[in-house]
Amino acid sequence: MISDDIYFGGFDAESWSTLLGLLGLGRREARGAIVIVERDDGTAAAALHTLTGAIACEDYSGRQALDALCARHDAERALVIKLGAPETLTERLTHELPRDADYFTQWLAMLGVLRAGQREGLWTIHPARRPLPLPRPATVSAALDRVLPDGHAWLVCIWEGDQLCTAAALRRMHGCIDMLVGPDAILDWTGPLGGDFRRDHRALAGAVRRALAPLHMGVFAQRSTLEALLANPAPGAWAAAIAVRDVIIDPAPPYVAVAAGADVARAAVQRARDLFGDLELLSLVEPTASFLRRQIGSLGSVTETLGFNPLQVLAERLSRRD
Amino acid sequence: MGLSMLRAPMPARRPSARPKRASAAVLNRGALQLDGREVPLWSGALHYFRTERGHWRRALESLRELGLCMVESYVPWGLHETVDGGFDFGARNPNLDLPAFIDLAGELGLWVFLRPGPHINAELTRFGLPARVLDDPRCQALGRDGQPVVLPAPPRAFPVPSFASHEFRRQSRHWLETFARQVTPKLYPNGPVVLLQVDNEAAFYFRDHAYDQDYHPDAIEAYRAFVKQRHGSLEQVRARYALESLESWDALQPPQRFDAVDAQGLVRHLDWSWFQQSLVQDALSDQVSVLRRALGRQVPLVHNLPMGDAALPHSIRAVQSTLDAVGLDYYHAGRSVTPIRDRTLRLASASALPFAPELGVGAPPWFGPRRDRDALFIALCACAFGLRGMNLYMAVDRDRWFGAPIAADGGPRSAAEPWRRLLSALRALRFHSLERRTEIALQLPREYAHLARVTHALGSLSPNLFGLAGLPLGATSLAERFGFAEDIQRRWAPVLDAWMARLQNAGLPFALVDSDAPLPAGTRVLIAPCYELADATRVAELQRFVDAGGQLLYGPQRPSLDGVLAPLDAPALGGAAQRLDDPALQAASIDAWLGEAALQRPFLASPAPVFSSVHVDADGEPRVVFLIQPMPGFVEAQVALPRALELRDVLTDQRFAGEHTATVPMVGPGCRMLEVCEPQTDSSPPSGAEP
Repeated sequence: MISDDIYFGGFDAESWSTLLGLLGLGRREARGAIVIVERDDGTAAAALHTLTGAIACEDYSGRQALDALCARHDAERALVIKLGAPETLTERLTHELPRDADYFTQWLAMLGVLRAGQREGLWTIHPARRPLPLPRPATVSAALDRVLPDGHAWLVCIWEGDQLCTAAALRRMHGCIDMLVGPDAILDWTGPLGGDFRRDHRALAGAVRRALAPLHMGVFAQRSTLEALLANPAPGAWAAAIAVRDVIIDPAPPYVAVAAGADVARAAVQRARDLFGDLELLSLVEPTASFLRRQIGSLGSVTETLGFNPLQVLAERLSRRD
Repeated sequence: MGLSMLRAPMPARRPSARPKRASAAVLNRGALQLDGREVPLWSGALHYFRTERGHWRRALESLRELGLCMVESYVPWGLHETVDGGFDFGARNPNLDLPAFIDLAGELGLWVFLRPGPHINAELTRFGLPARVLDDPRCQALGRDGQPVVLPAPPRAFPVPSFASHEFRRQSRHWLETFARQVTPKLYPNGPVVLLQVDNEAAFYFRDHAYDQDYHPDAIEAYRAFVKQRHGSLEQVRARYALESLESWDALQPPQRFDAVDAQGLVRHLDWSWFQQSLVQDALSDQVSVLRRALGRQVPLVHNLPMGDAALPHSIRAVQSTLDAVGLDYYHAGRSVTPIRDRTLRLASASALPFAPELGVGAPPWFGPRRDRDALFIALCACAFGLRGMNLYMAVDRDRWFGAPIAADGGPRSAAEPWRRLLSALRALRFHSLERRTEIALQLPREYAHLARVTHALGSLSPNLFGLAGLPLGATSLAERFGFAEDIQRRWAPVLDAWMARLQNAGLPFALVDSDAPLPAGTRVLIAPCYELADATRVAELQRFVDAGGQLLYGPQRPSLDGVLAPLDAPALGGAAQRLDDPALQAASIDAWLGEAALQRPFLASPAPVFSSVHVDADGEPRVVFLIQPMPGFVEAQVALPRALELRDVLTDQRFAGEHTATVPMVGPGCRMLEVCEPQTDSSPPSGAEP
């Protein structure tokens, strides 16, 4: 799913950092974590805080004490690893790594080894996090066929005032993601822009279509609009932004229409709850529910194939601003 | 305290380039010396093989306009080698025409710095090595289970080569000889090529935990030879390793996991780590020999060590043993001064030319976000602590990179302007020739670094990674005492960190010195962690320092055992061992150094934590003051002036003048590079002038 020859380019430091910032990537844990290396008898062989260094561990009394330990050292969480577990997991990985597979598949294999180690108790994280199910490579590939069909591209363009502040075009070709290009390259293809994203988006989409591949989805918006939507995704806000063209999605694949519809439904339910409590909710949302039922086949197939709802996971990821 | 000892400065022992036979290009005095012409290492990276050939000229011109005098490029073995076993240097793919690229750079007045590997990384798939070599089991490094050692680097995990493998060395030799045939006619003085680097970031391909590798048969053979040379006889090995059943050298196996429970058990593990240092030295030495022989002409050879190098088995000095200089790479995230300070101070004392072969301007996409101003901050901070040359990596944008100041088509980006100003100032001030003088040095004992490494408790989660996160060596080590009074491996590094914090706040400049590197000239005070176990050579050096009149602070133990746990003759060391981690001792010592000993604090900055770093010319005249505010927030810093002077910010051209002090606004974390100037005589009042 990721080409050996993947091309990445066309970003300056600001455009790449802005893009990652919008996606919520690159943030650091403010308080750090504690790492305990635990012997088989449950005592600690070593302990450290990821921000300050070694910490005393002679009085470590087992995993039931992790809450107190985190509080004492002002740590966000604790990671407990059995002594020798990293070596064991590394060797298992070497055995199980599909050498000829692509990088994504190799990473799934690595995550599989780690997950198995967690189930065996070789390592644990506290407080426990809800683990995402690990799909098989074939299922991810099938889901990707729907999200970004082969021979197509995604385009995201973000403006700050009349300037394009970041952009990214992602292409899938011969089954693999093979290009991620930034604003430098995209602007080379379009030439000078007018400065109004509601008009410029057609030129951008057309240029990427000609240079890379037919677009499967294009997202165009002002940075401030997008940041506000990501920071405070109030019910209906996305749908409203799309309706008034504060966010332009063009082309919009079925799953985006479904997500927008779901957002309308969520807003309606919230509004109804505010006005009427929980009475007659179903009748109030019936028009939206009917729409969703018509579209659900598309969303359902993605969710069924993956084993989880990617939009839900994405929404959670994007709204996690802590 | 013995303050009288402070009055006699130490005899000068400065690191310098090793003497070479008469040659056209040599590294010396912070620069390349080309028959009387001095060329400082202000260089920028442009990958000819990734830049469209039609853009080469414009990109090189932009690079020159940035103020760089040298272009650097990797030379990728894996791209030049063709599937039929031949090599393409432009006959088939014009982008691979290395000779034409060199000629063009020369035509445009640029010197050329080439890095042919064999390993180059460069974010290339398989780090630029041919797949056929990596897939050859004879070339692969092996883990303790006999399986290849795999590096999960994007965009494809691959088995890493063995530094010991005879077959890998043979294949590498063939590549380096091929490269040399292309480059020899282009070497100075016949061409612009003036600097070459062997290999890249020799760090066991980031699988550098002590027991990750290498258990290749050739490595085990080399390990046995190393142990034999170190201990002499099988009998000694039996005794020191407590291996009574060891019948022959062939039966000697390297340790596969850390299993020592007492001090005696440490010897075998420490030896393994020292062996890994010698393995890297030997591999690089092999490449140096091949290149020197194949080139047939003298050209300086250098190497670069990666981020987190303090956790590697090999020191800067050890790697430099067969090279002209060793540099360190800078890819720090965020704006933390301490890691840049520690890294640069170690480099400045150990390398014949403290330079950054890769000063990250931008980064690969998987490094996470980085802003333009962060790269500039790193460059300024590194210069503040003694960096004398740098290669902007990348100067020209390319595949799998973001943030270079010059776009892939050769046009300058807006981020280029501050770099142009900085480089202009570095050139004008002859910054490469300046020096940062110190009277206090802190010693990093190599044997404790090895001990921290072998006792690392997180296996393949390399200590290197934790070093990158800013943790001291030993933070990930086992909390075991092995019969000593303390868990040495976890204690020694934080002691030095505490001293450095205090000295910095007191405004006392200091050096940080690996124990196998020479002390800077003028060192009057040396702070050296010592425990029961200490390397005999280091202890002898400490004694020599004391005998020459220097003041030594050591402790908390007087060493009694050497590196192989043999009894050490009790050294005098100028007095009793002290608890170096005692805050009262630290405070009293600093008071004494500022009082009777009168150690120098030029251009003292306040309020703490703001501090200054002063660089003087050969006559001792201050030329540059770096002012650093390591903490977030705004502060009006006061800088003490020796007389009426003006300080000019080389990036903003702001001027701050005064009779006795200058007031300089600082937004932290931030660093200003201030040129020391005579006061302006015109009537316009400078910014920041005293009321």
